[in-house]
Amino acid sequence: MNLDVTTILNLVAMLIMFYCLYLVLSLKSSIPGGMVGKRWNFLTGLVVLFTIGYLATPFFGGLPTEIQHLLVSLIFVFGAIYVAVTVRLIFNIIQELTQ
Amino acid sequence: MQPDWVLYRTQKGEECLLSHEREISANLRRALLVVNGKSTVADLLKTVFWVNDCSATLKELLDIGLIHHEASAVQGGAGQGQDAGTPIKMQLVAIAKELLGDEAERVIRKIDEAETTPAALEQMLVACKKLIKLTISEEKAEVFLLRGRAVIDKS
Repeated sequence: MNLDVTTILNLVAMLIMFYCLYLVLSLKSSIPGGMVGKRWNFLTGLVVLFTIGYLATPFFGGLPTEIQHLLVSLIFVFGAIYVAVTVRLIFNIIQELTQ
Repeated sequence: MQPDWVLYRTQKGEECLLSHEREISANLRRALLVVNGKSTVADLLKTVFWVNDCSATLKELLDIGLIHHEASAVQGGAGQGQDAGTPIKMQLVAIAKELLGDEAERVIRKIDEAETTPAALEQMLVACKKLIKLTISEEKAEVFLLRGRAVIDKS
């Protein structure tokens, strides 16, 4: 395997994403429902999706350029959704705790 | 054990549930949790599928004095919830168990830790409501707060 900067960054990203997956799944049982519980299921789904996407990155080179562009755009969209849901969740938690 | 008996937890049963020590088996604990001072034996046998051999388990709880079928015999039993002599915290624990079932543990811990002054109880109720709203159920949080305040106001 050619260990260039891109490959190392991809590996680091995968490791971080596995850590995120471990965290969301281990916390899930403590948050059965409520305001956080509802969003947590959605966030868990997105983390699973990202993990699959990250694992597939070594094979991106074999895909046609148009598909590569489409995949990058999809990652951007879901990334933005993830950030929006997380920020909204934090906003709601702070609002609830400061009421 | 008669099918029309309404079962209540005894003081000993309440203490056993609140205790973090494993005094009784998980199956007995599950059965003890469903005894709420409202459901009859027949109701419990019909609906409680998660307790192994529910009839024998309830009989065992009766034999070891953790539940009773006569409300008047229960001293401070939280299953009743509305008894004038029942300590406020026990009534709040009973409400939490009734509303939240197995997920009541963290709320019960908060109730246990609170002081018994009116201000501390109100503060604890609001904190419990927030905890329930964030991590268990938004709807049940409001119900818990309203019922908790009613208990405090009565005392």
